[in-house]
Amino acid sequence: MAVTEIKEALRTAANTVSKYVGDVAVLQVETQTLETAGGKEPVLAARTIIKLDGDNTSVVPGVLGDSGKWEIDTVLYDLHLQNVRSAIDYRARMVESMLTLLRPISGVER
Amino acid sequence: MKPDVEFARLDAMLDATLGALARRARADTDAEANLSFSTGGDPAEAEADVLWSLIERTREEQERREQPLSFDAMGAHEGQADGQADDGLLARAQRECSQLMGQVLGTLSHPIVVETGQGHARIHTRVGWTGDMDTHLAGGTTRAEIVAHAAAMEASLAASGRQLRLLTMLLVASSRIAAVIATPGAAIVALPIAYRCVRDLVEQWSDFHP
Repeated sequence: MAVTEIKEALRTAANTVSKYVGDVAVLQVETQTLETAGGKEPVLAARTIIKLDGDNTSVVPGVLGDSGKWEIDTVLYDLHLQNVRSAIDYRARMVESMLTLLRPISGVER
Repeated sequence: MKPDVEFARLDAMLDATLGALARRARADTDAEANLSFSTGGDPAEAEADVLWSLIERTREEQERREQPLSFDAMGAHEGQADGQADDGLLARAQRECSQLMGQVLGTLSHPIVVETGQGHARIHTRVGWTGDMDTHLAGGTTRAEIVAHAAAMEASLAASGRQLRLLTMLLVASSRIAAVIATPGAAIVALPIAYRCVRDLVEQWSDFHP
């Protein structure tokens, strides 16, 4: 029975890797502000979308100052930037591991 | 510490053990040519010796299944006590391996959620398994809370990355052990042996990375 369970676990691992490979085309990081008192919907403050083909779109928070210049909300921006870095690092680690997994799993008898 | 640096020693330990196992297998194959294998106090070779005994038990088990039922096949042979001990190790490794894989795969396919703040969470981040990240930030959140949240995020992502890394090591070790077993279905039966190998090495490695 344990062998059957292991075989099943390996199949699940293979399916997991296949699904992962299909899901990695776009990396999206969003930072939203939330007004807890009024029960309002979250408001998008910053968004970064990185595509596998290299396209990169970022929306960063800013306010129009009294002088007419756009000023970036540094607290939000720093948090968002930190999240983007973390997401890229995490994605890189996951992809590296998944690619390594593909080799042994592909040898499993079906 | 960067994950690659953190795991470098563990990778090296695994490589040394699997290398010793391959040499152990060659020594067995070339026994007629009088090539010898000695554990000689080397931890990698000692571990390889244990793994080799498990592989031999696995092979015997496979052969027994292919033969008609007989008194001998039921285990009444020389060295039965040792064999039973190995069978116990294998069964335990199979059970634990199956549990671990289920656990890791389950963890990976669920999003990581990190919340920071008192009472109602002031910062809430959800990370999908592909790295997609969604953060909600309540008004009035302090910089200190953001810093704390970033640290918590880093720890959670690192823990998830370590789990996946161990799963990777397990399957890579399994494929190399399957090559040593070299019988039909080896990929399946090698996994619990690989699990035992990786588990033991992680225990040794943890002494250097408490």
